[in-house]
Amino acid sequence: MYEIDMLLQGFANLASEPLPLLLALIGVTLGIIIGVLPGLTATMGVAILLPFTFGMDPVSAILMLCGVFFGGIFGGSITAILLKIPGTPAAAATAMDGYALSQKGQAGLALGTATLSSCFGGFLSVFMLIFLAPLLAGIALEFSAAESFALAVFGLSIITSVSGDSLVKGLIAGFLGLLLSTVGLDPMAGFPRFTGGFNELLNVPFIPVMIGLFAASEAFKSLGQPETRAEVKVYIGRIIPPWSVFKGLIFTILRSSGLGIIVGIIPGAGADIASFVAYNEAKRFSKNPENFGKGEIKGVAAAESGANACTGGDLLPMMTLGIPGDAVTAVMLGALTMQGLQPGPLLFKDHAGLVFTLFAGMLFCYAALLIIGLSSLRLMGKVLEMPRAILTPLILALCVVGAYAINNSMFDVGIMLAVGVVGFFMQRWDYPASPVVLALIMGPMAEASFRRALSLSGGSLDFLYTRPITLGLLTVAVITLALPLLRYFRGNGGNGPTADGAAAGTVGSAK
Amino acid sequence: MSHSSGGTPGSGTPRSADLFAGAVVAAVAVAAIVVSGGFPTMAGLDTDVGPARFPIIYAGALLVLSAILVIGRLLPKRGAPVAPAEPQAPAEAFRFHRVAIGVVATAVYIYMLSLIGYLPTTVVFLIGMMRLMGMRSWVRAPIIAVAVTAFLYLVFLYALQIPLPDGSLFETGEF
Repeated sequence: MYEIDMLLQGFANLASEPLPLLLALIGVTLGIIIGVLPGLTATMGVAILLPFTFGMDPVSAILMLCGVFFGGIFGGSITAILLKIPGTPAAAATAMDGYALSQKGQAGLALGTATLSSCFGGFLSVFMLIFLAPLLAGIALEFSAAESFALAVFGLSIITSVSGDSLVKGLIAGFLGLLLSTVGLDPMAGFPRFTGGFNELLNVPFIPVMIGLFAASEAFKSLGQPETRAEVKVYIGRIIPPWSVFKGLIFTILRSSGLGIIVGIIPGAGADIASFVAYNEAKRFSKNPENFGKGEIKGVAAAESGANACTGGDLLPMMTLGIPGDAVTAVMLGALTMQGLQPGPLLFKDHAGLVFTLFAGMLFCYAALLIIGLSSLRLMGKVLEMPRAILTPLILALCVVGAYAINNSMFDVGIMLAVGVVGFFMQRWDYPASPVVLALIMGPMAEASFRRALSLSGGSLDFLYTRPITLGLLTVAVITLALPLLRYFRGNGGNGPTADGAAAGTVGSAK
Repeated sequence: MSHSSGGTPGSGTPRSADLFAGAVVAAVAVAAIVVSGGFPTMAGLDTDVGPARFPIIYAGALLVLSAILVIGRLLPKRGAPVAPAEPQAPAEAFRFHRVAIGVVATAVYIYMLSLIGYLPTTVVFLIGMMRLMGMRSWVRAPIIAVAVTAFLYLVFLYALQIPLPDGSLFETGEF
């Protein structure tokens, strides 16, 4: 079978060159630490480490970032269980039963189950990615400019689902991102737009924008928050769950992983949604649903396997179609582009060996997560004690140095700072950051494809409704856009945005 | 900024902030439309819409959205006749002045980085930021700052082969 052969070849490639594996290990460790530290998300981790991967070969770079991504999603569960502080929003569901178990003196059992479930979910999702990605890429290879335009519009329609509590603010963020995406050379004629004479703006400095938006803005926010240090004084006890307990969790983990994969494939839905969906289903299927929230180990297993199974699902549309479903895959897409690899069907055609080496490396990342996760659980309490007084200045210095390192350009550092300040106000005023990044990626694709399709059709807009895939994708995009809009106007009476939402965290930025 | 500094970011937006943001977005959109008006039309290619079309569409959408945002905040909400004027009192206040100092310090750091180079500026910046964040010790802060600066320098220079700036004041001109 093609996929198995290629995967074995991928493992052989990794075995002959161990550097990517070492970097994946470092990535997983850093990811867990980032996930453990409340306020730091997997997206931020990937954005801030992106410049460090610039000088690496593509496999090492992407695997290190995958390690941060996977480790970051998992790491949040440690604080969720020990302190009821979800390190990442995806771990909020884990906190419900995990913390209750901690209070019963079974923190170790909860942590061990979370680690095993996370890795199991992650493994399954990567296997799904291995078998589905070439199939989807094969279909996408048939796409012409018209289909690419429809795909980009579909990608943009996700903005409504990553808009958080205020749809209007999400859409403003999205359209600002789209306007920003027009800065630089126009895709058909090469006319410079909105550059103000700066050659540096001929191409939007995408990586500094992401560092500013996801890392610098968070550091600025942290500057304004009083010092809070967590006291970890929890009895951990036995970590690896006994077989008699784990046996009863297998079906829950399998079902939750399946749900997590499906949620991950749906663009706009991330690990936080996956974990809650999996948790709810586990509760619905349970013979003792009343135990959920009071220290039910199945709740921990479901939430964690769901959240981590989402990772492979997330990567599927990003790698095969070039559409990032959320913020973290948007940053990963930036990483691939930075390495000279254009995510999409051609990636599978032109770089099949590299793609399957990456897949093999992703499986290794989850194996590493299992080992590092289980062995470091007792140490993670120390990580939590790292004061913000050290962490925040370190993040800011990394933002500055990282933004500089991409092109050895102080102009890029200036862009990072400006975007960081804007990002800070966006956070304070409930504007989600994910739509900006999605729009920055999908905007140029939409414009270039539309104008190319228009030229190919001789100036006629027929291509919008005469090609079945284009029509289908545009229809789905319209539905994706219309449903939240309908809900918004029904719920709000068309009377303005719900700007006073209590928790305006965005789905897309929730990782 | 004039808005309330209470609460954590994201826990509700003051009306003045929404109105201000709406005005800024509208101004950006108008500026984009005006500038786009100067872009060339595609005389050579009849089938193309030209470089101005997409920016104008995006800016137009922004104008509409900012109007919805502003009007939405000016009109009373249906079904919510008495909205609380301020979000609930937070446990601990958000210290906006620290953010402002931090942003200015970062801007100065970036400027000095190009002038006198990475090593001295990063040490000073880190010490300053740690003090700003409440680190009391005059011993720990410099030690951590020097260690972090040296670590990053070595990682970038030797592991990643990316030299960090020396500073224009110390660059030797070649004639």
